[in-house]
Amino acid sequence: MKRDDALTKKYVPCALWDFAGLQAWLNQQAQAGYALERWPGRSFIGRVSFRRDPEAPHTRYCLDPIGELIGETELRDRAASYREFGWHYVDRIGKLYAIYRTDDPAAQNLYTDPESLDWAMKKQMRFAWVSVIVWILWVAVIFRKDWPLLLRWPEEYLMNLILRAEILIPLYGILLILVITAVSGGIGTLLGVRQTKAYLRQGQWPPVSSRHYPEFCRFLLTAITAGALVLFLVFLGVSGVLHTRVLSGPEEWAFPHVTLEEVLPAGASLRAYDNRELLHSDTFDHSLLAPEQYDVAQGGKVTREDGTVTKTRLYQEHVRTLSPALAQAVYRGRVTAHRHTLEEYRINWEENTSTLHSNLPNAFDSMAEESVSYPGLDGLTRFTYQFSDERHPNVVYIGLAGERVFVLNCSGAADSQEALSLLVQRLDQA
Amino acid sequence: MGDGKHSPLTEPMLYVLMAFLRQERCGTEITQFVSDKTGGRVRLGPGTLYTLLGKFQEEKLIEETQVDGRKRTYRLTHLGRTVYEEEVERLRSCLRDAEEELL
Repeated sequence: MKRDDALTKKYVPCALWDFAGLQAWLNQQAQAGYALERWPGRSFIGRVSFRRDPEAPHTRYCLDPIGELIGETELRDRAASYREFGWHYVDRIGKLYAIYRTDDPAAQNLYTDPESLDWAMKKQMRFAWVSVIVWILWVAVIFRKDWPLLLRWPEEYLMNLILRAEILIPLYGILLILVITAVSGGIGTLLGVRQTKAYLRQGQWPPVSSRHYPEFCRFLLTAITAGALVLFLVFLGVSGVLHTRVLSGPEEWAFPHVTLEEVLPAGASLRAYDNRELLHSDTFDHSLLAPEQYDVAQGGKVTREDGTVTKTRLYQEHVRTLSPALAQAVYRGRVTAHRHTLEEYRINWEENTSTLHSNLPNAFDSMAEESVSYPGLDGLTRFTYQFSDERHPNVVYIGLAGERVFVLNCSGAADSQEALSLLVQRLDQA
Repeated sequence: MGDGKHSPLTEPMLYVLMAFLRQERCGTEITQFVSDKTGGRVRLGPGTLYTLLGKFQEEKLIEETQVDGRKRTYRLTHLGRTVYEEEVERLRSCLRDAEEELL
């Protein structure tokens, strides 16, 4: 009888580490008249190619553990040695097993006692460990910028999620699924090989586990998730979600705010900076969880009545969230972010003091953070600090009022107390 | 003296070491020896055989003496003989105990 040239693809019902399951499945296919044609390498999606062959029912398949640590030369030597015993190399299952076939009914199985198979799987165990470590290192590297924030400043991390909800939540969700799929594959192989070895060590052959097509399911999940990631990135590119709107000036500040002119000392005059590069642009952002996010700045040279000139700046941020609980999270995040920024600034300052600022005292001696109780606000934190080249302290208020969070950053001649008082009144009216 | 870490040997291990007592052998000759010696009772698949040979070589119980193309021949080392003799002594002792109980 002739072999059928058409290939038949069949889904692998068990995990790739499952020695007994794979071997039993290959032999079942042989009994049903299907000879294994090839096992896909990198393009493996959970199914393999068989060819209908009338001789197949007389064929037996056996697996030989290889592990990635075994070299190609050793694999070829093994194949040549096994040939003398009637076993012929067919293909390899990834980095785990070599597949051998025999048509000789008298040929002994490759492994005739469990202990020797246990020893043969020693390299696989090492490979499985290496594989898991590599996956974990990969995760650590791709999220290297997030780990410090997540572990040391989690409140700031949560705030970023709220402020960029429609970008970060789906993106992290998709990446998390991809990472969990990859890492769980490595861990699954490690545990599976370990379990198989435990049976073998006790002198028992590992049982054939139940069939649930894990390899194809994993491929499907990865493909769907990767597809979702691509679509999401395309959506981000074309939807304009990533673009921050630049505001032309205070006429577009549709949130409770104060202006620099209102908080200057009596009789002082302001010459505002013409060059916006001295200040950052006024911007408006929004997200699903925080639909209003303003970040604005004013600054200039202030001349007091006595003729002294002071560089003065007033930065304001305003966030309105969908609920007070979200606002609370943003408030905590803002406080943490400010503390974090100052901490990094301090470290940088101290590292460079001996070489660059040897004649200056430690600028952070005067830095203070305090929680303040203030009528009309649910929370208020005040940061004060003064750099050694400044004549006035910087005062930053971070406050919470219901669903709103604000940051009021005053420097130079701006009266921070007055600014806070005015802002709280306007928040109350909003 | 053996270090005791090899004891007890499994049946296939004992017979593979036994195959080298009188002469150097290659893989097929070992399988034939074990089959003849045990009347087919102990089966030695090629995976089992080459895994054991690899393990014994790693543990310096045997050493390679000749490579003729694909054919590799091995012989027992002094340590291998010691380990074998200790295992035989252990089995002899077991057998003695077992027989005493039968009397």
